Amino acid sequence: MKKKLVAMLLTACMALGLCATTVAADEAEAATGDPIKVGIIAPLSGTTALQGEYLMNGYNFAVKHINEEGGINGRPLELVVSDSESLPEVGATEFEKLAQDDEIVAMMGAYSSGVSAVIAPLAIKYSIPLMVTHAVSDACMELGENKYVYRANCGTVESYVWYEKFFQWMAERGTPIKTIATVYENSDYGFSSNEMLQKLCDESDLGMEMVLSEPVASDSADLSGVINKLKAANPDYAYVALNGNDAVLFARQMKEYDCNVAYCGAGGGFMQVDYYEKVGDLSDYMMGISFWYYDIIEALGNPRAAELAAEYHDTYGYDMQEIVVSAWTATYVLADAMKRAESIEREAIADALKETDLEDDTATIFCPYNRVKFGDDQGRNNQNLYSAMPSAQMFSGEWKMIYPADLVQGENPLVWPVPTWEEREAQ
Amino acid sequence: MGLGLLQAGCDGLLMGGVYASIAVGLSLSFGVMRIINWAQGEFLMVAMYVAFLFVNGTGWDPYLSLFVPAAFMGVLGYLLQKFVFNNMLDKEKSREPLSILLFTAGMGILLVNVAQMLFGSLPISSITKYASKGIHIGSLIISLPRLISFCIAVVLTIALNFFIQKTETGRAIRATSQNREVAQLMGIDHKRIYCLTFALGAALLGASAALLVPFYAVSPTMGGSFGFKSFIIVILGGKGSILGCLIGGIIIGLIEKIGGLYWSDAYAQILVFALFIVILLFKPNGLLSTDKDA
Repeated sequence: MKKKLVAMLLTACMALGLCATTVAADEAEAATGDPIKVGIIAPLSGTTALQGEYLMNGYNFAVKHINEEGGINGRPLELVVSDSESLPEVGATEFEKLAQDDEIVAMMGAYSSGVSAVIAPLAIKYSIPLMVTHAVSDACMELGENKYVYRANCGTVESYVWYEKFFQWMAERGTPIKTIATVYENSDYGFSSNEMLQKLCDESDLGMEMVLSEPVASDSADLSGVINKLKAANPDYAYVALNGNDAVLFARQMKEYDCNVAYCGAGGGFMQVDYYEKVGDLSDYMMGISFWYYDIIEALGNPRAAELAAEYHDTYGYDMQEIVVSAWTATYVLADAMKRAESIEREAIADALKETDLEDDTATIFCPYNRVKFGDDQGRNNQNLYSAMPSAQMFSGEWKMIYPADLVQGENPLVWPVPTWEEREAQ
Repeated sequence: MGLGLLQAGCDGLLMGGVYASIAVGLSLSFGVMRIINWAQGEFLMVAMYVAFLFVNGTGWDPYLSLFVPAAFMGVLGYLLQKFVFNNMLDKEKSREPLSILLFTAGMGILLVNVAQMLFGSLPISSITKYASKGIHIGSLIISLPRLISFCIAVVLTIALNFFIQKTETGRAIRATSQNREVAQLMGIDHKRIYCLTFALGAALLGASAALLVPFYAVSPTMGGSFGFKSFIIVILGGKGSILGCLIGGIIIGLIEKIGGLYWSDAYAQILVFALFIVILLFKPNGLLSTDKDA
């Protein structure tokens, strides 16, 4: 009886507590004070203008929410945006311009690895905190001990590590990948990805062999040459890093030329929000390795994340994707540091960023491991130690996670070996 | 390797035919009016947007609807020549019309930016029933959309050549190209001929855009690589020569594919440009030229 009473009392307290927090949440008023200016370097035009659009959507979406939740101790965030034109030299000039404005207390950017690599040293030169957003190449993080340059998303090292884990897992489940091939656009990103996989073949214990390594000129009108080479080499797995229309062309021509090599669609082209619309079922069974998939929302089971994703879809007309998520995370991590900083000044914000350790937070709501903590890792300073690159496979336009096991929902959906075009037609 | 070579040869041939029909307009305006249209690639981009908007809007077959971008570009070309280029040519009678080259270069940049404003930078493509169909002949695979596009491109190019060689108007165009003053003395209205020539080339370019629809996507910056290739084709085939364009286009297609087979797709482009330089050095009037007009 006594126990029952205690239980009832406790339940009542909890219910009251819940009410109290709801009220508190409702009471959080939109920020109204003096705006805090944050500089952005983004590719608004040039070859990666489309990715720049996703990036800006992510920043704007996050800032809107931060400001609605009360901003930084009552002061709203305001973004001051400069166009890098997708060019490192322009990005550098624009960065310097913003960094010389005393009112701007922190910077974010710049999507591409090329631009990020030139602006990161400038952040140290001008002693302004920079949240590197989305760039994968590690060049921008290998700047020695500093308190200014931070990155929450993955780098090339993570790609290597997570690929190694994935291939090991494939071997353990009795379907080892012995031969691989790479097809990549001739850009910074393409070459560094190819190098990463070559290193995986040469240095890991996986015993893999690279049987074909093919750079491709971007904006190709025809990929038949490289697809026929891929067909002839017949690797167990191909890594294909292509952008824009090349990724669409690749999927179509794989079928045209009856090439049945299983491939990983890496790079911007395969991650475009309307990719499935363009290629339809041709994209079935495509493999993926990335920072984020829509599937992660369900895997993490956080209702707030699902709500945000739905709101994003309503606002912008298409689903969230990895670039948006990178921008969201970067903005919230920066906002968190500002809230903790002793003052809204560059040095104080940089000091606070260094101490960042966020878990189960709005900032980390979309991260596969729901955590951001910066540290030194393999020559990179201030890299998020909890960034990850899960593997997935595409079915009817949706990525379903296949690795690691703790993110897979229910039975592992992996279909391997990938059915041939003939088998798919027969289905 | 024999099969690989045969496959690459087929792919190169099919692509080359389409390259050729894109370059014909450039060659004609170059040969007849001495106009260098630096915006040829951007014209193609505009024509492709027209083709896509029409095909995606009406659901028509892209091949059957090729007259839409063709008519659009033809009219546009006619008006451009009549109201802009003819005036500029008048002012530069005594020298090579350099201002037109600069004008078209500027227009190209303008078109790219306007397209970016109107359509964004997302590439647009359409799924047609031809996409991803291949014809198997033994181990050889021929892409169906490329085969159809190739056939139409070649037929249109040859038909245009026939028109220029065999009809009265065609003769007038050739006469104007060979000597404007003498042609005028023979009663040919050279301004009308100029308008007609530019319109014909632009119309063929418009039709070529429709031929790309089943396997290519349009984006504001797509014109660049096609524009450059067109110049190389024109230099290769000889300015003003339609059959030269066809041969030049096919040579470029073959170099790209066969070079890609032994080297890589990305580096085969180097071969294309190397050939361009060699031709400019040793046969500046094109492969088909006789030395008399050098």
